[in-house]
Amino acid sequence: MTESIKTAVALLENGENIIIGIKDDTKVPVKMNDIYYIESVDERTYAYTKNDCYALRGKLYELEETLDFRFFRCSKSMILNSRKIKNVRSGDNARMNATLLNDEVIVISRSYVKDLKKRLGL
Amino acid sequence: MGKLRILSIQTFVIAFFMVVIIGLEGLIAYLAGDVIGFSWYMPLSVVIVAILTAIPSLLLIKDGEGYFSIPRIVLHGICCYVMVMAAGYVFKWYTSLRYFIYTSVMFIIVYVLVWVVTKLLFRAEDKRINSVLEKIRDEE
Repeated sequence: MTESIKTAVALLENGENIIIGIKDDTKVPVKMNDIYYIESVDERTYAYTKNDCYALRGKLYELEETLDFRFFRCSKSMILNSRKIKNVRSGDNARMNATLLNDEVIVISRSYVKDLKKRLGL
Repeated sequence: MGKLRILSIQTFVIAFFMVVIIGLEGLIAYLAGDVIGFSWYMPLSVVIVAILTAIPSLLLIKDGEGYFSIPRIVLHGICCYVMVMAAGYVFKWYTSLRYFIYTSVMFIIVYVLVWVVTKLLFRAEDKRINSVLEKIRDEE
């Protein structure tokens, strides 16, 4: 068993939800809890954590189906973890700017603001 | 906020401030010892103008990823002004230059007030969302 697989097994045994990411051509288990957002760029999909970026296999819409309730679509090319949002602020064009825990600012498109509010029970 | 919601809020806020201004105009005239009367179509004209002037807001709410630019805001203001003055002409809100200027000043006041109220409503919504996000946020 490789180190990555051992880590993945250990995480799964602890009840952690994981996703397999690729970094420097190595498969790495990434804890769902650590993912800030998943983005599709030029037909490729990436998961971003606080300090790292991992390539993922599969299309964004395929991954969306496997993600839990914490994740929601915030634009055509991005899925955001609602637990990593520090605050939101109404922006231009009836969109919203979400500041994440790492101070990165992500735009939530107008059509997906409704979805976020629904998930938050508003 | 959805497109329809913004439009309906703006319609109500515009109509509200127009009625407030007409009411104040009546009050000032009364205190000055004048008597002013309104034509039968005045309330209807307020509703029509409120709906018409809310429509240009669509200029500011684009489906794409465009930006809320200064030229677009200026264009929005001009569209609203033209609509109000055209409606004012039809509904005889002004019959002389003095009342034309008066109507223009009233337009600017209502326009600014509507944006202030809209901004405050957006802020209130942000606050509501942030209070829920705070409860579910991960600790880092």
